[in-house]
Amino acid sequence: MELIAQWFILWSFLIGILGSLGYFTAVYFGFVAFGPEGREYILTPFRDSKATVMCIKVGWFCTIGGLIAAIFQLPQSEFVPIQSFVLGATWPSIVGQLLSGRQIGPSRDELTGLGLTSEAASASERETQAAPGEAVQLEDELERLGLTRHSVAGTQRTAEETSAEERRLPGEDEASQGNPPS
Amino acid sequence: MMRQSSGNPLLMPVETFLDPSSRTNKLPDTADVWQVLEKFKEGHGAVVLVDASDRPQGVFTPSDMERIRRAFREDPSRSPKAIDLASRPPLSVYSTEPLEYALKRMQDRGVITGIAVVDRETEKYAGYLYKSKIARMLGVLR
Repeated sequence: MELIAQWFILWSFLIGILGSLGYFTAVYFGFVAFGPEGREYILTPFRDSKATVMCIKVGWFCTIGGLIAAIFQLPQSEFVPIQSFVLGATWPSIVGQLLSGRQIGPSRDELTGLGLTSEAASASERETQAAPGEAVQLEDELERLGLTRHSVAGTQRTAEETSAEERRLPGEDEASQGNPPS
Repeated sequence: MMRQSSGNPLLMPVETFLDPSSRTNKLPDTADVWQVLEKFKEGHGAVVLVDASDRPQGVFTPSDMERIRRAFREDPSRSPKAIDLASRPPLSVYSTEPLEYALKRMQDRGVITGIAVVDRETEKYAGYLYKSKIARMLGVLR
């Protein structure tokens, strides 16, 4: 026990490696219930161009697991091997959660670069809110010009009737009046 | 477990932010300007004209009302058909495109109101994405 107590960090590191290796083994042999697609999704980064799982990448993965377990052990006075093992096995999700947790949303600079500033957004909202009033004003103005929906429709019908009359043949006019065509 | 997405809203598809009720701002492309004005009076911030296949053909934003005003002042006898006065072609984006792309398109065209959204598969009008609404969702506007 004394030996373990003196070498907490190193033991955490080694147990963390075992945790990562245990997780990788479970995935590799399909023990973890991800299904064949999920298994391939996880193993793809470990494969080389010939689709062979590379030991060096597995070693890299496990080493990181061990390091993270050691980091979590550092501030603790008591040795927690279970914690080290679990951290070794689950370190990718922990790191992912830490990173995405900091990224609450796009940065202000990012939004400004896309034209989404508070001034632009306010202008957009003001424009939308003013639209009903402007529409009423425009309707009134068109009415003052003598233009309403019905007046324009009537003008259009008159123009169409005039065009239709002009297109009618002279003979048709005389026939309609009872005169024989010349 | 291992490869989680960052959850950046700018990378999410436009349809995530689309309010289905925004589709009610559409009119057929045979509509007249009075129908467009009625839509604005109902509270819509933009009016989209669609053809018989429900594909966007033109758009009116509040800033276009000045253009309608000028057009009728210059020629009171002009045709009241809305499609002749609409902005064409309408600025649009597919529903599966990322939000970032939609914002970039609006910025490039200098559009401040929003952008029409078209369904990727059917090419039909899916709704209107207002810039102010995006700003609220992203916390730019409170």
